[in-house]
Amino acid sequence: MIRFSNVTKHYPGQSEALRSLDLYIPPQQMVFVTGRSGAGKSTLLRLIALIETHSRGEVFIDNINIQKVAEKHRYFLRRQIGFIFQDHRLLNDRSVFDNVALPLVISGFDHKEIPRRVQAALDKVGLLSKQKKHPLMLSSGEQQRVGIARAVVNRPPILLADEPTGNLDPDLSIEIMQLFEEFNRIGVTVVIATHEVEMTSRLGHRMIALEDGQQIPFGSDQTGESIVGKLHE
Amino acid sequence: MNELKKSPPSTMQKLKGWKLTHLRCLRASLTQLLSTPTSTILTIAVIGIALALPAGLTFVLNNLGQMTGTIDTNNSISLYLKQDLSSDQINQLQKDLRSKKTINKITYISSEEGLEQYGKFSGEISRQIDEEISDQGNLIDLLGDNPLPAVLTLQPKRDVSPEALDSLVSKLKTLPEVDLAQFDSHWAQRLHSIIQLLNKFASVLSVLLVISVLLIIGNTIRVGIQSRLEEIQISRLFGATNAFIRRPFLYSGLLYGVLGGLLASTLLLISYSLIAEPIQQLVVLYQIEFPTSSSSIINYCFLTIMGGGALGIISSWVAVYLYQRGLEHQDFS
Repeated sequence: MIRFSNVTKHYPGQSEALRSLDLYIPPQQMVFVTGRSGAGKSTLLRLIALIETHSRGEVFIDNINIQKVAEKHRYFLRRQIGFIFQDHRLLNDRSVFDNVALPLVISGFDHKEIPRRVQAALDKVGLLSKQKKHPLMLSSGEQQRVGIARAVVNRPPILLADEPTGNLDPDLSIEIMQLFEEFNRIGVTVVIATHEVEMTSRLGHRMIALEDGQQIPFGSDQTGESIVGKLHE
Repeated sequence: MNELKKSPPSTMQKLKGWKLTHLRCLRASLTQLLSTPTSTILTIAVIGIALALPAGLTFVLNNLGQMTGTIDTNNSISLYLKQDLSSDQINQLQKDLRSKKTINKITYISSEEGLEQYGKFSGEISRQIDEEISDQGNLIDLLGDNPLPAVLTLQPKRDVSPEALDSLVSKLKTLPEVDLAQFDSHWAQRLHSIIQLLNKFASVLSVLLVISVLLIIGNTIRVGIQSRLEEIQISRLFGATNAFIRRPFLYSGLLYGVLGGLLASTLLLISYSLIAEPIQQLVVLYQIEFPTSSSSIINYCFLTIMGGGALGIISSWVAVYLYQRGLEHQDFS
């Protein structure tokens, strides 16, 4: 589903965020990408989401080399991807309903179909009763769930989440991760960047560890080591 | 995905969806404008005034041009002859003049014919101005002897230069039979060339003002884009096409232009109603045809509104295009 071949991402004036990365994520897999901040987790996700473009190498999504797709045609690839931000990035001047409906409006869905889909997505994240509220009236955990509803409302085959539980307490974090597992169970490829190695490694999914823009064996970095050590105890 | 299995929508359905999308977009743009009423009103006021000036100028000058067009500007020269000439002398003079290359046609109006024409003409005017003081006919009767001179009207050839005409007139003045020689419509010609000059001036001014309207709307849209960057970025992330992102801004530009055009039209109509009556009086006094009617001012208003809308769409399209072109080569969010 997602394949990186010798990918380097270079930000002007900075060191390389990803260095000659090779990576393959098969369809319907759930993957956690871990590593310290600056290790390249966010960059990896942003390259997949076509928010940024890589400097060298090749990125394939669904066997399409994204570099060969002109910017004005990339919208089609972007519709295959749901993205969840750490800071939600909801539109605060619009209701929860309108926020979740946005991807459907963008994709030109039938106007009668939209309410049904939005309500199904909000129901899934347990916020059906808050559809008329504005994002700022909700708690941080609820806002994050609105962000998730927005990402899945289009039923994309790929779901990307950048530190989705970064601002949440542990109980809420587990709830959110369970939500992702549910989507994965119905066939969605899920890639989650996180620094919460302890909680996520317990869930038993594939872990990809990054350090200085390169993949390292999971558990060999300091955080991973200590966690794996703890798990062994 | 389920929706892929569904049969494709029919053309009617697509058309309906398209209409709904655009209506929704128009409504959203209107809401957007209403959400910042002060700046919207100020922007529309600036656009309205900038549109009203060229529209008003063009309107006035076009009408003036048509008006002077109805005045005889055929360069004819009137020769007022001395009173005591015999008909032989007059015939000889006509003959002499006919031999000149520059003159096309000569009309002779004897003093009796002149009196008749004057009586008719002055009677008409006095009826129109004020019926009470009229009865010019009686006035002429009172004069007793006919005071009017015989007149020769010379029609020069079309290709004669103004300089040649001037020298012709000064030569004619020196003839012993001639009391006075003058151009009949010199003033109309001068007015005509002044209007042509004003027309050029108005064209330059109109171009400048139209450019300023383009810049005002373009800049307003640019500011609008800046204030909605978050929404644009999120929309792009979820697969919005360039057209989808452009659309609400095009509608905003259209609304600014049309509302500015409406304001300009209102200003035009108000100004017109203020000058309509004095113009009517002038028309009566000078016996000229003033072609303005209320329908022509409404045409101008209609054109101003349409023009405003077109300018709005063009400038907002350029503003969004420049923004989107910048995005092609750079990461977003």
